Amino acid sequence: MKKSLIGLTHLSYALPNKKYDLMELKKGNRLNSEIGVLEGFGFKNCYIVGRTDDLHLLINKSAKETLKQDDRNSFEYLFYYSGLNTSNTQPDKNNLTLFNYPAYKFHHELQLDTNAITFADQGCSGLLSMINISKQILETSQKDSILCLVGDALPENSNREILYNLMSDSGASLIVKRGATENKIVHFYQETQSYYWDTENHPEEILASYFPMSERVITKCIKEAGLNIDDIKWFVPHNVSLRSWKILAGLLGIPEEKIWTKNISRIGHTISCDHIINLSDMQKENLIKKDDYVLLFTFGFGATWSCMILQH
Amino acid sequence: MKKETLFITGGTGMIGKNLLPIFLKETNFIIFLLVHNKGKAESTSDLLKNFFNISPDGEKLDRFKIVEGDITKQNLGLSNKKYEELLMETNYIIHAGATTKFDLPIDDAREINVTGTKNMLKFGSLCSDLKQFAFLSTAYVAGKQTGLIQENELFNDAGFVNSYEQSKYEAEKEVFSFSKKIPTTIYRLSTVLGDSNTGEVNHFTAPHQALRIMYLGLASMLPGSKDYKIDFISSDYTARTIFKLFCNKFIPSTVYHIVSGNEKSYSLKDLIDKTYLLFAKYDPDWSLKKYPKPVITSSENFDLFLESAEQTNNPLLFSVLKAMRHFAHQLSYPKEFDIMHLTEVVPEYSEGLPDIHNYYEKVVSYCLKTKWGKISQ
Repeated sequence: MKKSLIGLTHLSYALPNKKYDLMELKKGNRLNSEIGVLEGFGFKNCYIVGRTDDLHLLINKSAKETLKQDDRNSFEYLFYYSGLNTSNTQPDKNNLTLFNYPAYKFHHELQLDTNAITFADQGCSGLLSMINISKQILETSQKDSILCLVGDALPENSNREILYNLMSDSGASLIVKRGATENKIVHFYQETQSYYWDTENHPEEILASYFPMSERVITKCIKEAGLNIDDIKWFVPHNVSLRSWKILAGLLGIPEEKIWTKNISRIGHTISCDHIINLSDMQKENLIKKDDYVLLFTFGFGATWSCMILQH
Repeated sequence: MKKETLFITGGTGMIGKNLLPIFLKETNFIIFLLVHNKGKAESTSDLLKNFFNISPDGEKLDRFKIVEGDITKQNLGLSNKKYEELLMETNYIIHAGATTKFDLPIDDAREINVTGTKNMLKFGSLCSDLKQFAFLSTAYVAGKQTGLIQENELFNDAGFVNSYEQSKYEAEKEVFSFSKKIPTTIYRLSTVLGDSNTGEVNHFTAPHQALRIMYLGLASMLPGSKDYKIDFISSDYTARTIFKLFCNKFIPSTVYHIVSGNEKSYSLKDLIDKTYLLFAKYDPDWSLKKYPKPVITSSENFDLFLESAEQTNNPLLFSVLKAMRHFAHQLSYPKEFDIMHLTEVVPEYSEGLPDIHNYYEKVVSYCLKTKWGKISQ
């Protein structure tokens, strides 16, 4: 496998100020499961924006942090992704509000010279797909980088649990850059099972298929990258239940210590931001050394299983 | 000359359904069939015709008698008069009555499989002219033991995967303890899959439920190893073999394994692959769903998954996994069954044994066509 010189840089994220523990959420009737179950699955806290509109501020904040360190004129595109399907907006009488796009709003606020595109409909898998598409574009582009913004906030006062996972709101950003010296994209592999497109009608089938598909996609990605599973130094999870990662570790035959799970209890699952948050925190803790292979894995409703291998 | 009498329990079970017609057609035995619940509408004639697929001509009808009773009850739930009458008449007993549910609490399984067997043994010991007491058991009284399992061996310090195995083991102990008083024999059967000619399944048991779980896209993982050989036997050939063992050469206190052996069995991986191919072949719409095949994993990992499903209280997934829990763990204990005793009495056994590779498709097709017994053929 030819190693790419395209990688991820300037990772940044922003969480809401308000943190809730499981007890507060249960009292507020915002959990389906009992506290003990979610604790057993590794969850403790989640972050919730005051108003859904505040998500915009979080993404904007992380984007500005990302842009501090980079030439904002070098971007081929601004890409935006949110994992939630919010297409049920009520139109105004002229239907013009149907054309209000967050990607353009960010573009304006960040005063960029490039073009903006919104990606949609890959659930929690959207970030990795967006990074992969960015890489492919940069391989033939005259420009050196693409700014990627992501963020999700569940509707106000909504339940904070999705299929036994505790959900946080968050915004995050990164740059996919040619000539990156770290987090170089080695390989990406993804499988889509669109039979599960109407998520609400298939919860049990999705839960049942999650593990065999996850094992298959991770194994195949490593194989296609020309690596062995032992070559992977770190497995960077999407922050779904710790229990599910223990089971997946068993299926893959890897030590649990190789999966960086610290943020599962600290933050919970943020839909599209988990990998930026986790990679960013791992880098801050200096856990990833030069040349380490790092595997990012996620699952998105729809359904898509996605795996990306980076080399630091 | 007085006709001899066979008293049979479990005659409407998976093997009994095949076995009883053979005895009725190929012997002159008067057959008493003990049934737990006769059913008000079902006459003897109807039962022969509808259930056993035998034309109820006068001679067969005269030799076939239904007795309503209960093996778990004193005197088998019969009146004293009927019990005494049967003691006087019975020459042969085949005790096949059992619960084959894997998920019963052990006390409930014991009630039917151990107490029921004790009551049958007591009945046998009181018969005035008993010539043979045959007990249908399972090869999986070996429980969690691995390696080569001998036929006359009944020792288990490894434990059991489910209450069915344990209760059958305990029932065998009872049979052994009676073997000096009455002429006993034990047939230890492997897992009965269906009819090798038609694919018909008359009792849908754990393996069939496992197929259904795969068909519904709910099979996530299975414990065991890819190479584990799944030993299945066909109901028709098994019944024929039991008949031969029973009639050809009775050797008291002998145990027979009636199994397929590794050569005529699928490995766990091959079985899963074949099952998915057949589902796709017989139900093209199913293949559009692209359900992933279950992963084969360790027992510990499987248990962790089960525990998680239980904790989440997801009713469908938990009930499915709970059903799997009680048999899937056997896949972690590879074993082979010796058949020396069997081949001494039925030397042609291996030669005629139907190969699962040849009839598995028929069984899967039958499951699909009948929607696992919900639609009659």
